[in-house]
Amino acid sequence: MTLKLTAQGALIYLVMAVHLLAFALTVGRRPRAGWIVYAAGFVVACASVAFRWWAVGHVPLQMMFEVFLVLVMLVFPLSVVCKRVWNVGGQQWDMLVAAALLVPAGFVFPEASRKLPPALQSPLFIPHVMAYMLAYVLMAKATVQAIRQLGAGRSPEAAQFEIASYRVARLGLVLLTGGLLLGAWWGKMAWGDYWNWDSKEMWSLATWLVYLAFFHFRALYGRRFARVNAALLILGMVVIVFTLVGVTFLLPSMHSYAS
Amino acid sequence: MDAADDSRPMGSVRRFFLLGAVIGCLVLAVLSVIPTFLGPDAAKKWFLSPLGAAAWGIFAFLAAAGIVAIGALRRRLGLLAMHVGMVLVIAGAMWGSELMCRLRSDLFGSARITEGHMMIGQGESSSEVFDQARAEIGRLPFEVHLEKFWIEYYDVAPEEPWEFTSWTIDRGSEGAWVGQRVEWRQGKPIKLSPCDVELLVTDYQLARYGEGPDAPVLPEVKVRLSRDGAAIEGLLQPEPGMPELRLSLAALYGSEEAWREADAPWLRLQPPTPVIKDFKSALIVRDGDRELARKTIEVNAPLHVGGYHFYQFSYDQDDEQYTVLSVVSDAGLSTVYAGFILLIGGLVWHVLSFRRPRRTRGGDVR
Repeated sequence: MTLKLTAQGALIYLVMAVHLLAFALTVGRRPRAGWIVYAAGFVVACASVAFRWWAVGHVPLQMMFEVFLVLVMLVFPLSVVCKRVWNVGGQQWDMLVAAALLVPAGFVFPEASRKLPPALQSPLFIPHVMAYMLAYVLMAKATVQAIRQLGAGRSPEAAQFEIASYRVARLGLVLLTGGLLLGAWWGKMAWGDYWNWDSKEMWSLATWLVYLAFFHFRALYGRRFARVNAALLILGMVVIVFTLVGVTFLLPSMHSYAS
Repeated sequence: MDAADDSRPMGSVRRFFLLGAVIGCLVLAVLSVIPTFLGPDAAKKWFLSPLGAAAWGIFAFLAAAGIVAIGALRRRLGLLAMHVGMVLVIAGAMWGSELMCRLRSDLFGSARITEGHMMIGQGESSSEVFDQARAEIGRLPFEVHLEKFWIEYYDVAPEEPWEFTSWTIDRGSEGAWVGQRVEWRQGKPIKLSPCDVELLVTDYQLARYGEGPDAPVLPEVKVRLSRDGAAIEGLLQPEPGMPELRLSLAALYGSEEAWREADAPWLRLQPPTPVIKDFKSALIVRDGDRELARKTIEVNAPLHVGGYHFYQFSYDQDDEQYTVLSVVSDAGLSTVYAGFILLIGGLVWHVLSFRRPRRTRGGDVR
């Protein structure tokens, strides 16, 4: 763990601090102030990503460091969408997740940049990676709802959390599918095959299949086995974390740009 | 499709296929990740084996049988499109797979190449396709001519730091010198592999030599090299027209002879290595005297002709005189792409067809 004594590092720590303040205000029963500070955190997160974009001269989605900056930037808008469209709450946990996501970027991942290699110079680069980033944030939110559901036991609140997690995961699956298919199309354009049996591809497929299993199980039993629904969502999140971080650092992959 | 909202009892057929889908998805998920710990070749080998093909075949069967057996699935356009798409993707993939190509070749004598590589020199033509072991696997029904191959580099900014590389003799390859980049950072000591010498860059400054914007900008580097309690310090100042500076470490070993006997490296300070931005091949495809296609290909911009795709795969790393193309057959590709479109289109349609939840006055969602 090292402190980043750079302008980028300062922006990261500021984003972290603002999100933690927003969390503290929200759990301290000042939700309106919490929302305002949360929105401010989003603005600073955008500034952090924009600064990185300017510094490296290309869209900052190549390195793990950059990926985590973008993930944090997406948390607030997706929070707002979930609240407005489905009345899915739990924004204080979103704030905490955003702050936690910045720990690896702020203290672990190296900041050094690299030029974009030929394979990443494609119009599909941004849509493919962004589809996955949006999906991951949504699935994280669905997982938080699933954990809240398990924590609520058999209370009426548990059913609300279960429905919330299902609705958020639905949009997450659309984006996961989009990311998977865009990646296959890009693989065909860049490497000659829409499927290369690469570790990242196989784990992404496994992620998709786990969520597919969740939706089929829910279609079969509805809310009768709600705890199994929650468990499948949590399993999906575990697979996502390994796909995003574990594969990058532990397994050989053609997607090694990020390590 | 939300069973929680459907008050009709579920038929046993629908239950069977849904449960089969759940189990199938989870089993395939596990089978997908296990081979990743063994490497991409192991994963490919498993999934292209009869057992792997059977697993996907069963999955496709479940999707197809579900369409036939479950009326609700057929009545909802989005769900139907998704499942048909899934079947098409698997069918197209199987049709284009090496296994199926071998079967077609054995049964019908079809000699189509599935995938391979071509190595073509500048100004030369070829129709030969090789596998990874450089054994010829067949010939294309046309010739590919390489007009020109070239590499584009990113501009090197004047302030980009110069590189240190350490060079040692590789006894195994007839005494060839092997260089290794040293990942240095100012103020951070770093061990030079494979010896026990430590390099510390104490100061790195840039100086402009001359007047005007085109005057060269060169570094002035203060270094400290230490080993076994002994240390030497120096200032490295490349001059205009001097592409690199070499530094002997003999002083740390007592004598040149001791330095050679220890197989210790020498150090080189050199300008930053330009980073490759792109590499391109200008190709012409001919069938006798008839020109079929002409295109400059690069990574992400292949050439499509005669049922094959040609990709910029690699090149002559020493002299940049030949290009290496990857050749891939398009068998099954349009079926797979059609499946992709139906899969994502069906999913989007299905999700959009859900009613937006209505809120009660109390803010509860229904």
